[in-house]
Amino acid sequence: MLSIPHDIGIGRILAWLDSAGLLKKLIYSRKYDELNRMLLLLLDKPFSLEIYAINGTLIFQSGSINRPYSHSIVYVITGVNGSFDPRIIVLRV
Amino acid sequence: MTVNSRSQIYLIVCIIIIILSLSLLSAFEPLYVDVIEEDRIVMLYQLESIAIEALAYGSTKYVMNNTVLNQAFLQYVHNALYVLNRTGIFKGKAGKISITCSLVIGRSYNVTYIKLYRVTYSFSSLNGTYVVHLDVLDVDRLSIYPVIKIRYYHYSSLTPSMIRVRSLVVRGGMILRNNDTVFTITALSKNIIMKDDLGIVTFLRID
Repeated sequence: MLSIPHDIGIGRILAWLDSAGLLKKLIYSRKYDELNRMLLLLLDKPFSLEIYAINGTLIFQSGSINRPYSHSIVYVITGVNGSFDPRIIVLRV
Repeated sequence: MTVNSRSQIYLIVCIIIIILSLSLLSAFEPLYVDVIEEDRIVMLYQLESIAIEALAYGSTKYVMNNTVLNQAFLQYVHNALYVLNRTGIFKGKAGKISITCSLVIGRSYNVTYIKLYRVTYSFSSLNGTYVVHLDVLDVDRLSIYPVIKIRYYHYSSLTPSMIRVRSLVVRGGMILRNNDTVFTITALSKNIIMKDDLGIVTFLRID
């Protein structure tokens, strides 16, 4: 069971998942639905998640991007195990 | 052709050039970002994530000296910062970003090894340190193959109350995990190459 430190707010959730080693693991193994479910559990609020490749191609999208969200967080992961294959993650909550 | 119609043609050509220039410029605008919640702590996490990947990339060069490691490390960091810049996350207000890495060679029990990888980074007057730590605790040479006991962990100043436990695979020997940070390696070769689950490579050499 995941527990987030109290000082990690919504804006820091992707950073925290990255430091816990989960973000890269889920994204580069293409377990997008698992990441989505994890965010659903952690946030407990409506959100949209978009994952882009470096050339701007949308790789994964969940939730509605048309509804108004109060927070938009962008986080970049540049690769895994020393490879260079960036992904741009946009989370709207 | 009258002067009036010629000036009209010039005007149309100018408009076309301006439209083309604007469309070319817009191609270099940040692609993805509309609203960003600015958080300097997130930027430190972001830099740390880059540092780990750059260290994984640099350490695979099988280096035992700082110059080669630094070159590979900075090459990766440069590419990564370019990507971050393109997303618009910095918004041109980043100030000075600095990021450096170094390694320390250790020697104990007649074993030479990479004792420490240290990365330091700073962003907007905040600083961070990331350390990959290896200690040789004991070497037993009485059995057929030398048995080396090591301690291995990562540490980040962003999460100072915890050490980051990693798993290891070994080339040139067999590894057994004793607890979170202590491992026993049976050395089948004089040179042992270890790689953790983040892709960071460390070395042991039995002298």
